Amino acid sequence: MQLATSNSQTAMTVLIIDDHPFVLQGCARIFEDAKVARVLQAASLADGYRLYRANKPAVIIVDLSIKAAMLGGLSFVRRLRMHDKKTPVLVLSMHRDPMIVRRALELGVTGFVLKDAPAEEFLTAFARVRQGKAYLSPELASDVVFSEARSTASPFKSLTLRELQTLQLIAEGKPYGVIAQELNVSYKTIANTCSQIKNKLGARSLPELMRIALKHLPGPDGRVE
Amino acid sequence: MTSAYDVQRSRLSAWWHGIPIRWQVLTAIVATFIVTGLFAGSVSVIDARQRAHVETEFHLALWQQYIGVRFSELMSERELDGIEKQIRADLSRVRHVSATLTFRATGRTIELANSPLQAQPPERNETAPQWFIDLVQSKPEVRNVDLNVRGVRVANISLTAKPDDEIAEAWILLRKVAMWWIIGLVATILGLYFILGYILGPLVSFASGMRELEGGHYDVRLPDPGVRELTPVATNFNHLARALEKAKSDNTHLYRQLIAVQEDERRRIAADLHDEVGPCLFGIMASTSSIKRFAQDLPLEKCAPILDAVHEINHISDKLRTMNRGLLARLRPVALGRISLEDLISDLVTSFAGANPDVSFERNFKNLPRSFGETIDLTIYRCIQEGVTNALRHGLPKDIEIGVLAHAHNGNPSTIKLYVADNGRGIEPDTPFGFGLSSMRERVRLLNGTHAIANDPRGGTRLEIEIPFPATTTMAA
Repeated sequence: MQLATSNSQTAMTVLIIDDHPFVLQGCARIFEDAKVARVLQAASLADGYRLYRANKPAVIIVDLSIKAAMLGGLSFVRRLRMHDKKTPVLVLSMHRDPMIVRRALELGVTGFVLKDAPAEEFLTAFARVRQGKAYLSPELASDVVFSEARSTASPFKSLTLRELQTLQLIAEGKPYGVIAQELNVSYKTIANTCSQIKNKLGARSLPELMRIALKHLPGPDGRVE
Repeated sequence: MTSAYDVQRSRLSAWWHGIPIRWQVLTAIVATFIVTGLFAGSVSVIDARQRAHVETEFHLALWQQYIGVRFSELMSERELDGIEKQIRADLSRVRHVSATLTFRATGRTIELANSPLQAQPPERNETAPQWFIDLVQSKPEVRNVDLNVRGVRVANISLTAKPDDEIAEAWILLRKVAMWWIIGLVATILGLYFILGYILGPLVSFASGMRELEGGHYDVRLPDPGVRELTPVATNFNHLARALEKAKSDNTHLYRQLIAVQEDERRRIAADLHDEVGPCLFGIMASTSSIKRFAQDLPLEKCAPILDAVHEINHISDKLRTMNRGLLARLRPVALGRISLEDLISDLVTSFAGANPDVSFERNFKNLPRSFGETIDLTIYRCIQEGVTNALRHGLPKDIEIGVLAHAHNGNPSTIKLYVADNGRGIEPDTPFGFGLSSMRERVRLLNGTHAIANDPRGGTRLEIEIPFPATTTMAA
């Protein structure tokens, strides 16, 4: 089922598993027109495995719902990760539910990008994943972090999204003025929010707050540990 | 008429209409009894009065004549000195009259006879109460007999009517009649109380049946009242209840079908939007990015319009994407059935929290299985969606708490309790239920659940829903 050709022998191989012809063709077009990669197209998980074993692609792009199987992409990743922990996997999906995203990340997916994201975002995601770095669509990231923070074990479950965003920026060491600018609110609001967070988390000082935040919040690259 | 009178009257009428019909009838009958009793009593008093009058009149006239004749006799026999003794002896047998002899010259008075009742047998020795005596004998009747010696009045005998005996007789009779009258009255009240209870029993059950119908309990049926006039009423009532029950069951059935069809339609549309629109957008995006790349190799004057067109296509794609996401969010949770119910609700709450960064959302999930089945899961999802939307729209709350608790019975979940509580302003008392809320109520009702929305006394609103599990359908056989 190898349809793609390559002009350059040094170009890397990308395996794309999706049951929708538009996505397969689209991927082939993006990577091959730009002479970035040789593209292997698989319309089913079985084809995907076969091509993976035969070609050892550099990057695997996989959809989550393939044919009738509910979230079949996830079981593909689980199987793959049992013996291959290195090959970067980028999920290209329409699923935006934080729980599904979280589960994919827990299984060891390297990146997660939405199918209806703009071209630039898809290319950025691919570029990062190719280097083995994590990528998560910014719009998903806040949902995932929030959903993580909401789990009953988290010390942040009583924080509002605004407080959580503020805390994250504090953890990054940004001063109030910058945080206010980034969140598009006034300096006073941020000061208020900060004292609220201290109340809710029982922190007495800003350094203590930073320590709590660094311990429990994901790193600045958007990766949820 | 004064307004105070009117107020009194209306209060009386309100009281009268407020008491049960059994007491109305009893009150009317007792009032009639008392009026007739008083009338009968008055008649017997008037009768006693007339009889006492006739009696005393007769005795007074008799004794007046007798004293006159006797005095003439004694005068002719010149036994004036013994007159007192003679007359006393004569008067010893007198009834109903007392006599006093007054000598004109000296002014001396002698009681000739005063205790006529002493002559009565002891068992009749009974006196009427003073008020009765006063009633029967309004004023004492007095006759004077002048005793003349050769044309000169020497003494005077005053005869006073004393009809005590007669009055006592009337009193005893009246008392006896009154006693029987009271016994009759009590017996009538008791009898009527039970008879009216028996006759009016069906009406009471009609009234409670009507209340049941009003409350939407169409399974109520009335027993045959056993009263000829009321049997058709009960039969018709039962027909009506049966018809209502049928209509309700038809309605439920239709609503169920409506919701099922709607959900099915939504599922298909959502699945298509989810599975097809995304890939199409991706294809468009891939094609435009490839066009863009090719265009960049062209000279600038040829490249610029192509890039403009690409930009336009990307802009339209963006619009489509936003629209698609909005449609999906409204249509159906695509993740339903793919992830656990708890995760599904968590995601819903997360999306609310993302859209409302200043509201704190608290979750309370307990004993939730992976799924209660699609219908219940979807109902829970929609109820929370509607409840939170409502809380955010009306209350401007700072905190919203969402709870879904499954109560287990012998290890199996038996009731699902869910609530959405906020600390906002609470809902205005007259806020009409929107379509979302009524549709939520119907969904809960279809699962035989209960639904309540009320202002929390501590402030804010609390929506509470209980759904039995395993679901019992409301479909009547």
